[in-house]
Amino acid sequence: MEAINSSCLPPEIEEEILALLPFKSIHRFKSLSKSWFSLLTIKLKVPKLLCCRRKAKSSNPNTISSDDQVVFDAVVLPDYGCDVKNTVYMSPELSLELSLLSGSFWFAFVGSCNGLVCLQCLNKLEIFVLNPSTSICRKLPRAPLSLEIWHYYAYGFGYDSASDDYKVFLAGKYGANVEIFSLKTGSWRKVENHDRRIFQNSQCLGSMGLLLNGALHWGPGKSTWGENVKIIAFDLDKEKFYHVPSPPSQSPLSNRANYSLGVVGEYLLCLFKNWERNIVWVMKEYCNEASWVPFISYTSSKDGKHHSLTYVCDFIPRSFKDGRYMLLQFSQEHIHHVLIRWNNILEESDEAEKYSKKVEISKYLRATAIAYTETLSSPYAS
Amino acid sequence: MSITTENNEKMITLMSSDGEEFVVEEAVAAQSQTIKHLIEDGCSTEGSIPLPNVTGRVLSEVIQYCKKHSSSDDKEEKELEAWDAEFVKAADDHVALTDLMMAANFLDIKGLLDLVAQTLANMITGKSPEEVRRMWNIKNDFTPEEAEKVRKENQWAFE
Repeated sequence: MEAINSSCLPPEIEEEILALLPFKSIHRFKSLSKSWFSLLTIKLKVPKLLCCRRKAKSSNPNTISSDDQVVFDAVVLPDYGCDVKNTVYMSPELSLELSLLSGSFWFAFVGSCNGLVCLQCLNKLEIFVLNPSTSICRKLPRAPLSLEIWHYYAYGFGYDSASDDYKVFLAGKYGANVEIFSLKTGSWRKVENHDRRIFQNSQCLGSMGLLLNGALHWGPGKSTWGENVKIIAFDLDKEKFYHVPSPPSQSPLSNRANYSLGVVGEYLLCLFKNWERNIVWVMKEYCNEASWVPFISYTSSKDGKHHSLTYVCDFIPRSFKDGRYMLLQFSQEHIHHVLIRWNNILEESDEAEKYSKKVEISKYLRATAIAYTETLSSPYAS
Repeated sequence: MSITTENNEKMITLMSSDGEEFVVEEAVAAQSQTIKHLIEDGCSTEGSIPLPNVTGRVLSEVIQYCKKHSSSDDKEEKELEAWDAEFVKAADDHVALTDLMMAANFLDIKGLLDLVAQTLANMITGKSPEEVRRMWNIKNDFTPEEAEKVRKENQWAFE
């Protein structure tokens, strides 16, 4: 074997470097050579994670104090099988702008669609739509007074192909008032004639709607006595609510259970959790109650410690060969993330557990993340 | 060769492509997954471990990194980050960094690979395609018409 010749860039490390380039450089370097052109074109399709976390001032990262900063990182998700080291390649200016706007308070993601990420500042009732790739950030006008409570009841962000427009959805208490913001018209509009108590029994307070089939979906939330709970959906084109059946009721043990949602590819997931089990259900055929099947399950209590599961995102790793994964978050004493391969979701498979892999996204408490793809979409017009 | 020091640290010998020998603690060398597996397979007992595609100059840098990272724990994270920043700065130019990254790739040292990849990515981020081609002798194999087309499509990225 010969010693490495350094005057060239060997292909085995070329990809590693290209994966870390910011969006603008990727486009500039497409004209470099044919091989860079094709590599970079593939790179653009790989989702990134936008992570929002508290950076603790105190030496103990698990202690929350009012001096903590909110920090945003854009993260390249790992290939299956390796850990993530935080990779910051969002422009420092945007990161700073967002951190200043947020002050010492907490952000929540409203949604992500076609490269645009919508987020809200919980204490100031401010909403932003940003493109982390182009660093363009739009602050939306204040939402109407009818919604002004500390915390929006339900929210979401999505693209409506019928009107070729991006819409921000906000619902006040129990869904009594629902307002839609259109990125095209730049204004808020009230949704009329809907069931004003649509969210009354759902207990999905403060939850993000997940986009699937042109509609936003909210999980059924808590179920106190094992009653059959429903998933609420909102069609972004027709601007109408409808119900999606939830997984079959669990045994009587399911009292005090909690349900949350996820979306992988064209499938809706329902994450069921009670004191005993965490079960990820998948609906193989949209709106068909009988098509719910359990996909993977975990024990909730280990050594008497409670642990619960939430969905983070769906993504394809850097090397496409290995299929598609979902990223789930476990909260125990510490938060950790697990990647699960799901390209075999339609097969009857007990092998799912085999494909799961622990990843470390952030060592910090309460990091939340949302996946996005890099596009030129503008928050100002569609 | 397997030597044991006073404090019972097992030592192993690494040999670079140009024949230079480095005696290091096993815990340091095992930062490299490649070497760790060689040790586990019993390849270290019969003498030194040959690393035929890493030169002595690069290997000494790699060992420096591994030593630092095997002796630090999580509490010193900030200090370690500062040390990493100085370490890649000392590597000086893209040729040295490319060598280092190839070695990290071959030796399978994830932390070092990430560190150098990010440094190189940062280095080229603001450069023009011509400058990057010159750095690594990359040939522009587009025809003038193709080149013009790609450039036009991505004109905004040049502004």
